[in-house]
Amino acid sequence: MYADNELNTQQRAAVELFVQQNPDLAAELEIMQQIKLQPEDGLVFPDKSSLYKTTDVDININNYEEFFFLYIDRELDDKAREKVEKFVLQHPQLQSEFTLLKQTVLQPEAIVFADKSSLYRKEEERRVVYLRWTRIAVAAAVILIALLGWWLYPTTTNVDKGIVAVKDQGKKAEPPVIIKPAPVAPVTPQKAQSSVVVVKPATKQEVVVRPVQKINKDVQQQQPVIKVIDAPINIASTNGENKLMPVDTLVATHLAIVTPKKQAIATNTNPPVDIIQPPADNGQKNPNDNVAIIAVNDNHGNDAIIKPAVYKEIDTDDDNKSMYVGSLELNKDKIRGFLKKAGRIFGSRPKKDTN
Amino acid sequence: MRRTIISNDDEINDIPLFMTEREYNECVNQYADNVFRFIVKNLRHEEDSRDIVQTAFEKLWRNRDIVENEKCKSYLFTVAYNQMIDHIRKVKRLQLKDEFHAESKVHNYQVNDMKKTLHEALNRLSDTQKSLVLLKDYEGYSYEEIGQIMGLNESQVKVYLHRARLTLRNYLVSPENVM
Repeated sequence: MYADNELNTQQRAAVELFVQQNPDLAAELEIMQQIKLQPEDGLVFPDKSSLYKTTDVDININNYEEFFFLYIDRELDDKAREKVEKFVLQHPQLQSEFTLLKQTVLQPEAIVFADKSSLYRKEEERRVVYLRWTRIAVAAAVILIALLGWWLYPTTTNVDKGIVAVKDQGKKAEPPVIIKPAPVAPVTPQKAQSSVVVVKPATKQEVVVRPVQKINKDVQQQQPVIKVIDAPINIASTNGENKLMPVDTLVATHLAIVTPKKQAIATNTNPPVDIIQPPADNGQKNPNDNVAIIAVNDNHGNDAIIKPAVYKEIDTDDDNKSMYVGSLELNKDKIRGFLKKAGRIFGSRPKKDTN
Repeated sequence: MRRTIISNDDEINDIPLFMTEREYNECVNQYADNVFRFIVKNLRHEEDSRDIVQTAFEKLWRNRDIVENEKCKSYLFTVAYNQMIDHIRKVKRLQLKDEFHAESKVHNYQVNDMKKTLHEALNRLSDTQKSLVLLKDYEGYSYEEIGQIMGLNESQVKVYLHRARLTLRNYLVSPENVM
C-alpha cells in the first residue's frame, strides 16, 4: 500500500519508522517500489478522427469509408445519400473503391420453403366450446320434440274430451277398446250411477267402446288389450239409444295407451272378467249397436254386475313403434336413428373443419 | 387486446393473446421462405434448415400469447438464428470438412461470374459475419434490428458488418478471382 500510495501521511511515517527499525525489510520495500510500471509517452491512438461522431458532419476525405459503408447498408437518408454520390463524383480516384464496395452487396434470391402446410396450426379450444354449445342446443331441441310428442300423444285422447264414440258394427271394424275393471266389491244399483255401470243388453249384444285413437294399423284385427287404472267410472246406461257420453274421468285421466296384443289379456285377466270379443259383423243392425257402454262380462252369470271400476295396468306399450305428433304418425325407431345420426354429424363436423 | 379462450378443463381464462391462429398462419405464409433462405444460406443443408425453421415456428405458436403479431418476423429470425448456432456447434467438425472440399473445388477452376464468386466469398466468412451480411442484404434489417436478433449492440453490428464487406471485397479483387 506504501508503494501504491494508498497510505495517508501518518501511515507512511509509521511505515518509514518501521523500516528504519528493521533494516532487513528495507530492501524488500525498495524492490516493491521498483516493480511499479511507468506509462509510456509514445503510445497514442492513431486516426482519432475515425472516433468522432459524424451524424452532423458531412462526408470528407477522412471519413468517406464509413459513409461508403453506411451508403451500401442503406442506413443513410436521401439527403445523405446524395451527398455521398456527389462526393464520389468530386473524387474520381475513389470511384473504383466505391463501386467495388457496392459489388459486395448480395442480391436476394428466391428460395421457397416447400410444404408450408406443415407449419400451419389451428386452435381447437374455442371450437370445443362452440361445438359444446351447439350440441347442447341440439340436445335441447331433441328433448323438446320428444316431450312435445309425449304430451301430444296422450292429449289426443283428450281432444275429444273423453267422448267415446259409438262404434257402428256395420262399418269397418276398428280395434275396439275394452275396459276391464278390477275385482271390486259389488255396488248397489244406486251407487252404480256414480261408478261403473255395467249393463248387459237383453239381446246379449255386447257393446264395446270404440277406441278414440287408432293405435296400430297392423293389429286392427287383433284382440285389443286395454290398460286399466284404479278409478270409478261414471257412465250413464242406455237402452239402445244413440248417445255419446262424456267420460272425462274414464278416458282422459285413467285410460292409458291401448295396445292391441294377441291373447295378452288372457294371461292377465282377473277371474271375474272376460275379454269382450268384438261383435261379429253379421250385417244385422241392432238398436243397441250404437250404445256406448262399458260392458263387463261376468263369467258366473248373465246378470249385470255393477262394480266400481278399479283399473290397473296390465300391459305396456313396448311394442308400440309409432307415436303421433298431432296428426302426423312417426316411427320411434326412425326418430331414434335420426337423432343418433345427427349427433354423429355434429361430432364429426369439427374434425372435418380442422382438416 | 385480450381474448377469451377455453382451456381443456372448460375453464374460461381471460388471457391476453397477441396473435390469433389466423395471424400465425399469415406469418407462415409471409416469412417461412425468408427464414428458410437465411438458414439454408448459412448451413448449406436443406434438411437441417427445414428442421430449424419448423422449430422456430413451433416456438412462435407456443408463445403466441406473448409475441405481438408485428414482431413475429424478428422473433422468428431470432429463434432460428439461435437454433442455427446451436446446430453449428454440434456439427462443426463435419462442417469444416465440407468447407475443405468446397475450397478444393474453388482452386480447380477460374470463376468469372461475379455473383458466383460473391457467394463463394460469403462462404469464407465466419458464421457471425455471414449472418450479418444475409440479414442486411436479404432481409433489409437495420443495425439495431440485426443486433436484437443476434444479441449484439449496434456498434458491434456496424463494425463486424464493415469487416465482412472488406473481406468480401478483398476476395473479389484477389488475383485468383480476377481474369
